[in-house]
Amino acid sequence: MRKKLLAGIILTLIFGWQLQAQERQNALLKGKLKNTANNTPASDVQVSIPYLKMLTVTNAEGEFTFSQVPYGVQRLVVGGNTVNTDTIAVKIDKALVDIGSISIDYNDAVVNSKESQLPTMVMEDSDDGDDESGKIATVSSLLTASRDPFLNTASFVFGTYRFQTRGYDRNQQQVLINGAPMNDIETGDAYWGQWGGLNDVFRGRSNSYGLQPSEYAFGGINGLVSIDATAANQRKQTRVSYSLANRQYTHRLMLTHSSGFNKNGWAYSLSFSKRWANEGYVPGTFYDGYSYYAAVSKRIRNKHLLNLTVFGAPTQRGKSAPSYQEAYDLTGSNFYNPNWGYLNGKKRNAKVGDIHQPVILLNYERNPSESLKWNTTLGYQFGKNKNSTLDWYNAADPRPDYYKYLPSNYFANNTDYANLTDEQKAQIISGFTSNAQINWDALYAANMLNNGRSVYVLGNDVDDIRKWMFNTNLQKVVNEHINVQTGITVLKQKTESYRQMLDLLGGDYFLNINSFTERNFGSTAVRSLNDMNNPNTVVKEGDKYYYNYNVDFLKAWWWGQGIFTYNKVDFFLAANYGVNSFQREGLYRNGLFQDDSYGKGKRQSFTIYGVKGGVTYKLNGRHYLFVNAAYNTDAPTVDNTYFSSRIRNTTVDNPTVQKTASIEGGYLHRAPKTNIRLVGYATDRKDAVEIQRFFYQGTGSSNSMVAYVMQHVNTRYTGLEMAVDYKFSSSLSATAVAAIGQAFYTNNPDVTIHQENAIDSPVIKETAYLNNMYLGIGPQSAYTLGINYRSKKYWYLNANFNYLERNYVDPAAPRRTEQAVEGIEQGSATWHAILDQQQLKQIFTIDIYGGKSFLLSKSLKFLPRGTYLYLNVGINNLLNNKNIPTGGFENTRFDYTGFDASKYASKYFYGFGRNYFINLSLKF
Amino acid sequence: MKKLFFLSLLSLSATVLLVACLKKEYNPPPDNSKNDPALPVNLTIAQLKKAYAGAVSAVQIDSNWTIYGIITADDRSGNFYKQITIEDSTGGITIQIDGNSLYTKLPVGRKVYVKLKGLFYGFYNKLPQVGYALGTSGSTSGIPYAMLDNFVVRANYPNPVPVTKFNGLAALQAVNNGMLNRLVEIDSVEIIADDLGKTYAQPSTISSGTSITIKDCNGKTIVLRNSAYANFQSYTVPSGKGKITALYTTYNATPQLVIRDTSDLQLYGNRCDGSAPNAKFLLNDPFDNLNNWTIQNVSGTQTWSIATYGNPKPCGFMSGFEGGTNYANEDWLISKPLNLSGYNKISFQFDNAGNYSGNPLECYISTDYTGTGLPSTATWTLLPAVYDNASGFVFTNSGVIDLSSYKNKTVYIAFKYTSTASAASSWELDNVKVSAE
Repeated sequence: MRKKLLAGIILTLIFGWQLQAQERQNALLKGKLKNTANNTPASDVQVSIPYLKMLTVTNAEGEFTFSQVPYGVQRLVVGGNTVNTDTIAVKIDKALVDIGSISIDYNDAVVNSKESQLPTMVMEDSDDGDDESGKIATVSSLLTASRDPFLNTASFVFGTYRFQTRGYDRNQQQVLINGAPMNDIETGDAYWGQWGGLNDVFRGRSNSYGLQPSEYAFGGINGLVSIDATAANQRKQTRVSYSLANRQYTHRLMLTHSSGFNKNGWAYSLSFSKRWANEGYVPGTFYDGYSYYAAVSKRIRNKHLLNLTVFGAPTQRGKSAPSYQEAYDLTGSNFYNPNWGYLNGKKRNAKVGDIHQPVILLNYERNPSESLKWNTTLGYQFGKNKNSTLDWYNAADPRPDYYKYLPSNYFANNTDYANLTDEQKAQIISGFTSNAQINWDALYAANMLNNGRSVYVLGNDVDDIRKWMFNTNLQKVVNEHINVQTGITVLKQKTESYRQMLDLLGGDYFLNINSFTERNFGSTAVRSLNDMNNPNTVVKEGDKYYYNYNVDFLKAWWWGQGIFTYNKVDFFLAANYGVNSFQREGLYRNGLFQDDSYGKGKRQSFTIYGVKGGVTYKLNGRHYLFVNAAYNTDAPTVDNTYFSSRIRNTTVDNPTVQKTASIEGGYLHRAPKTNIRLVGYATDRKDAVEIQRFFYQGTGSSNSMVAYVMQHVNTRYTGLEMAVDYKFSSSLSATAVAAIGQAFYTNNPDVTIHQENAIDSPVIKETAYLNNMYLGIGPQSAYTLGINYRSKKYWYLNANFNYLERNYVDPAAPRRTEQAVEGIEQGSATWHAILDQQQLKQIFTIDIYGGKSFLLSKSLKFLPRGTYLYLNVGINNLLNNKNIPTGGFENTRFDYTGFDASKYASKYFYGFGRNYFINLSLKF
Repeated sequence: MKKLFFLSLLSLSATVLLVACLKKEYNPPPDNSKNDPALPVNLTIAQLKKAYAGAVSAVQIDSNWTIYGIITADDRSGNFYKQITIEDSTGGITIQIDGNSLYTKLPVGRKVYVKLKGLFYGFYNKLPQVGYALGTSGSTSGIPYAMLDNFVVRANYPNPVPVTKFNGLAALQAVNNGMLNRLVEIDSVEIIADDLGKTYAQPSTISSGTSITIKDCNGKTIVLRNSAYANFQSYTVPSGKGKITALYTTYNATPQLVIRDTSDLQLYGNRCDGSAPNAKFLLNDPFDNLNNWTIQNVSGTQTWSIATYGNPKPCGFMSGFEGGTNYANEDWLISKPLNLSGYNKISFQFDNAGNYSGNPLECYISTDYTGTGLPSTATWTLLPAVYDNASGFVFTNSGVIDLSSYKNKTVYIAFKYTSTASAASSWELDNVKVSAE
């Protein structure tokens, strides 16, 4: 990979020299668009030269560039969709023509189709039931709106079905708001829910995809999204919207008012919204979310801009969970949700997410000259992310789909049941279906019978964060051809994590002891104490228990980049360098790990760096060839460094950074009628660590909660991305997109198994034979054909025909080991049943969208001028296919004695059946 | 414009408050534990047993019978597994249920009705039981947990738990089968001297259950059977004489008692021989592991270990013979420090078994060993003991060795094994006991 990068640089230099020798018949044309209303950059606006069949889109700074424009007078058309069209004649008479700033007006009558629907998809991470890992992420599908047909499709069409661009994890895309990095400091994921419901004011975005350069930061291997949510960037308007849907929520109210700049250089913007559902698409899921946003900007003599932005989205929601196919089949629905049960006639969900982590951003933009821009942001984020879960002590598992309750478990795993009559078998099946939801009454009754000591309780896993963000970024235009950017980011965060008693479910108290440990060390009571420093183990509602620790994060880096734009060739080079460190501090002294659970552990510090570069060769102004490459290192997460960060400071042996090398290249065609993208990519990730925590049913006496540690995990992501967008007329266009990828393991990682309920137990070592297994990252091939009609009368209609396939069930390492196939004849049916990776069935769906805008003030004279009503309707999965598996994962438990792969079955996620979204919005 | 905005804001807030009040405080459901559904009962437990008196294997019950009973044993401590036992005024019966932690629904003292139609009446090693289907060897399998409510109907809780009282074991053994599955209370019993100092049960890695012998002052004995999965498995058994409450069961022809919890053994009084209950085992090692010992490997590669033989198995083991060759060895197995202060009568004994030619095992005591380091750093006194002199591992008791002369001292006891390159015997060691009064 490094060699390829070097080759790219050499190539670039050669092209650079060639520039001098070029004939002067063609020129580079540059310009910048600004909104007339508030003098801010107009991003994402089409600019074309119809005669030359050239088309481009402005970047976040409102800038556009055409290369290889022939000498002469050219007619430049600005705008199209969202902007009132303007035609400008430009005289091309030298090698570089800069036409400076052009003011444009937005066309309020245009209906924005898809943005009003973002983000509505919330996905559940893998099951947190059987194990203790339990960090549930609330994430939007991915990405964001973009003019790029590929990106647009990947986020809105494929994202609904768990498609992940290039198969990357969600932490590979950097997300900035007003320059401050919003990716979670621990996981690297960006939680879009933090500004959910604030769609009106989080629209201003700039995207770079894959390894493309961004002017704001180095970016991840999946690119970067930079959101400008300052008051300065908001268009002057008041907007009231109501939406009706049958997805995660059923109703949404949004209210936004933005003032635009007044004479004195002040601007403010406010937005509020509420999203709610008594029951979402999946039974037992409720939604109760509020969002607020307030921002103010002050501009001083066009040289200084001060912004204060505050936002938050306190949200509570009842969650769904993946389950076994047997449970789906017996209950007759792929939307069976084991998380809820009736209590006093109402559905109560045991898994409730409750998050409120507001963000305050203060930023200062200084523009000493046209060629220099300096942006500094100071940010603070705080608040709690809580996720409830059932806890129990010396009591039967309360989860209705616990595998032992499945009829197949009775039939297969108890020899006595061979004697069952058909009637009895039918009875057992109906016994499951009539008990398929949580029996809250039984949980309360059990607690009441037990003399005040609850055996079932609801606890909350709480992460309480305090995060400081500092970012400063300098952009300098050196000359017409060279832009350089550099910046420094410092992030400091303290997270306190603990479990908190939420509801004793009718009992008076609970005990802060570990029941797994108690089983192993019955007579040594001190061993089962979760906190030896506090031997009073009585837990009441609101008390902390089980685990309690802080993690202190410090992450800082520098980055720099040069972007070189010439008539025939563009190239860029970027680098970053920094440190990523964290330190655990236990607040509990655990009875099992008395010496390494309490107090501060060693600070884990990692040097992180990356280099990236690329060349775009312009065959002419419409056809481009490009190649980009990157190499970077990344620190492991806390979760993948400590065996059990909840309990102790012990880390895996010699934690190391993971290394990623990536290359992409392809062909782009940009013309007013045709837009083609053909890209290939390959990425290698090396030395990753994956820790899973679950109840290990090993051979002999090795039954225990374990940390199953895989080190030096190598994976590869490779594939093709194709998109063709063709305009048959100014109204009718079609888009065809295909993403064909392969994401798989490229080695057999070393495994160590560490028992968490025992002391000084021997470490089991094995090899996980994962080489060439596919990663469980959603559909690896996705195709769509979209037909779009946009009327001059301000309505539009879209239809998408989607086909997704090659979705593989995430392989479980414990069943790809020597002991999992010991004595099994190679190639036999049993052997295949254990080792073969399941491919989920293909998905075919149709989505349609439509919308229209009405100028109300035209007919209703009492309304303010420019009052518009917008109607948007979207229907996903029009054919109401209720059997669309979007993901699955194998059980980490394996039957090492009977070698029956079906004994511990896989769990599956399903996509919604027909679902809709109707949005009415009034703007004045 | 602004007016309109604030008007909208106001109406929005109002709408939100009115429309979207999602209530998420939950009230607990009513407490039904005092209710008795008063199902009509048409059979006693004695009648049920009588109806199937001739049966040898499980039979399906096809009559519309309903029995009732008070739960006398549940699975709270883990000593019972996947079953409850109920009792009415005529007798007791075990109900097999395929579920864990049944006590949360079905605790001792709860009244239940059992609707028998469709269930099976069978025997687990001659102990009558009711279950869901035909099991192995005449037994029944448990009622699936999800189907529990269809057959076992919960009534009020708590109720006085029926118990039949006996003074001594003779009277109980006279009734025998009549008391099966019933809760009995026996006064004036104790755990036999050989079992004192032991834990209730050996760990599950060694055996799923352990028998402890109970005797009365007339010398009659009965087995107390404890599960390795009981949460009191690792606790030491009590040493006095007193009352025991337990379920009377049988394992084929062997009657046995099963307790619900350790509070069922109220053994605090003076023993039958008049000795105080505080006669205490400073050491009573069944050699499940070598945690009570330090190994001093003076010479030779071979060393002391745990072997899967024993009296009962496992035991401590040492041999200088490996892979067909005799090796010269000197290996010491030294006990943890034993503090003898506060006792007047101290006695010591152990079981041993040897085989093959070579030096005999030796047993020593020291008062100046420090707990670490080579044995040669301390003074050791040879103790007289009886060793196995038959060939082929015959467990032999050492005889009781009086250590009373060491009172008020801290001592170490050690077993010394030696072998040569021409002769290496093998020795097994078990049940090392140091008792003090």
